[in-house]
Amino acid sequence: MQVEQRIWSNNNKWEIISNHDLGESANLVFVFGSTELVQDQSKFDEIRALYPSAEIVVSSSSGEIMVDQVTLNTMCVTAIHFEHTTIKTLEIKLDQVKDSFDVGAHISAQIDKDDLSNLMIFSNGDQINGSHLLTGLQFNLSESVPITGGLAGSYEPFSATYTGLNGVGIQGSVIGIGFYGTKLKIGHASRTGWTPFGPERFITKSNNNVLYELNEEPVLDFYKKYLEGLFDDMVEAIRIYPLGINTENGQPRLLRAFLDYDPEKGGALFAGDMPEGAKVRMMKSNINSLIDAAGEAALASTEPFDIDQPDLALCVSCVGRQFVLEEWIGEEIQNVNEAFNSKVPIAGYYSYGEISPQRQNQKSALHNHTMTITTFKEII
Amino acid sequence: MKPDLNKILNRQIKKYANGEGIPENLEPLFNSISLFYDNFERDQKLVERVMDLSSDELMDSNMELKKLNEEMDRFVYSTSHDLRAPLLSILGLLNIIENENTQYDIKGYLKLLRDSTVKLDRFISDIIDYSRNTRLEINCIEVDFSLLIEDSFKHLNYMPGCSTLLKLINIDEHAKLYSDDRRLSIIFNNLISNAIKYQKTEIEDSFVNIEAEITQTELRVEIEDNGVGIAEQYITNIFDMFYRASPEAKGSGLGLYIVQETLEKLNGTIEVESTLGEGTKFIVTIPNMTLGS
Repeated sequence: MQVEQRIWSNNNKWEIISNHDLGESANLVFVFGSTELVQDQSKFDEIRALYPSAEIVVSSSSGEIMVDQVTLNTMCVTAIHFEHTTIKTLEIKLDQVKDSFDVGAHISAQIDKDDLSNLMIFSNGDQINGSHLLTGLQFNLSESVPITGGLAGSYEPFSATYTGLNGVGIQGSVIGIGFYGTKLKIGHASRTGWTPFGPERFITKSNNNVLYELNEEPVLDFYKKYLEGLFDDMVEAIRIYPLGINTENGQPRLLRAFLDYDPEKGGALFAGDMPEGAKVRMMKSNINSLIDAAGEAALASTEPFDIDQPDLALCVSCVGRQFVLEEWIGEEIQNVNEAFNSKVPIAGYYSYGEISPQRQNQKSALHNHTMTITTFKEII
Repeated sequence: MKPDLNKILNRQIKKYANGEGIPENLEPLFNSISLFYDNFERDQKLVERVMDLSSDELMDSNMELKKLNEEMDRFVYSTSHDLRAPLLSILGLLNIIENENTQYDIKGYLKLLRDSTVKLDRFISDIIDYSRNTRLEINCIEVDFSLLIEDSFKHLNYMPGCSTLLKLINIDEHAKLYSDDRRLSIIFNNLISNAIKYQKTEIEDSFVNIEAEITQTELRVEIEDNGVGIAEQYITNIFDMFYRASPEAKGSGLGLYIVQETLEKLNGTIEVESTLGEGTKFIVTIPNMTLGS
């Protein structure tokens, strides 16, 4: 397996990070960039000219990850040549099917399942219900096939996102990539760096990802009791203290990023389902714990999978981590890079939702606020 | 010294920088340190607040549990006492029947046995009403209030004094009534049965007068009788669990307690006016609900 990378910015044009003259032999290309650049047909044509035979997967991002840096207004291209692995891709558009669940169900029904070892998903980020997508994906697929990937992002909080398969990024598209063959090892890990605090509450009123009441108390009243007076802006404050759903299986809580508050309906919009009856607590973090967790994710994506120095690490980190990390955002990627001894090509992006099993051999789930890493290693 | 730096940091600079301030090239470093100090202080305040609120919540739920526990204690004590009394009376009567001459007034004893059994059954029904009110969700439907009152009287017809009591019923329906019909039945069965139970024995023109008005917003019902009335000093306690205003009181002591608990569930209120020896008037107000609420 060989990987080469290049990055486009309007100032520096194409900058070659690594080069193996993959050209015709590249099978798979990941393109992560700004919403403008991933929609640019001429830029896509250039990439297609470089890699005429590859499956090209495009996703807009809330920040591009390449090597040990986070960049904005760039387009990061990672081309892969597999020697012993085949891949199959497919794209389902939201307007062709009934709903988010149906997108997942179609992908899991249509993807070739013989010898399928791993499924990656690159989904629209603003029109999709990620939790329902996951339920649909698992509908026709064995739980033993790990699903990793993420939802697309954008620099403007929670505005339109763009994904594409063998074309520029468009709205409402979900792409699946199946990996086949016994020579490819894929590792995955998802770490948060967040810890729960405050009382446990039951979700007593919600509708999909809109939360109305905790213990029959309006959600804003609940937050105000704790945060009012300590912050000028309640919405900003709630973003720093999201909710963690008790998973009941002894694993860390499933984080749900708070997106916005609708004063008219009295509902808080979260980046994943908030099922009634679930138990939640507020979560807190700090810069240290987030940066450390990113490094832990790197180690956890290799060691348990017996992968020594992967050929590629694909990072999907959450846009919500940017709220806390702010100017320290680059440090979490540096920490990932250091955990890999600066010897592994790193690509990825900041997203509206990460997809990964929480631990090895567990069912995949939609996460927020995590650093999620998928590692690839072809054994010879 | 920069006024926008964190207070502790400012003090540290003053103490250790010999009053020289921060060199310009170190300002970003100090700004970053200051921001971390601020965040740590904010998080500390937040954790303190969490502890305060959790401690208050714990105290509140503890008080609530204590209250429930006391109520439960009283309930178990009084219930077992009230359940045993008619049973002991039944056993006593059975003893008499066994030991007496078999021909002697069997019918009279059987009537006493029946009375005790009915009393026991009524008491158990009250407990069932109480538990049903506590357990069940409100089930709002369209209610025919005239029919509900009619059914109440039908249900209570077996009570001594029911047939001779003059019943005056006047219902003004300005709007349809939406409420929980089972809970309404519990409330009005209890209030009407009190009017029947506590008639004056010495007069012949005993009456119960029910005046009801249904509007878009509420149901208001006045239930007035010319019965024995309640002495002023007891009025405040009549809604308490197992409270009986006089030794002659014939009920379980649960009736008005259940009425109040049930009204609470429906967000209703009850008022009482009474004069000993002249009669009692209960005024019940219940919000008119909407379908599905």
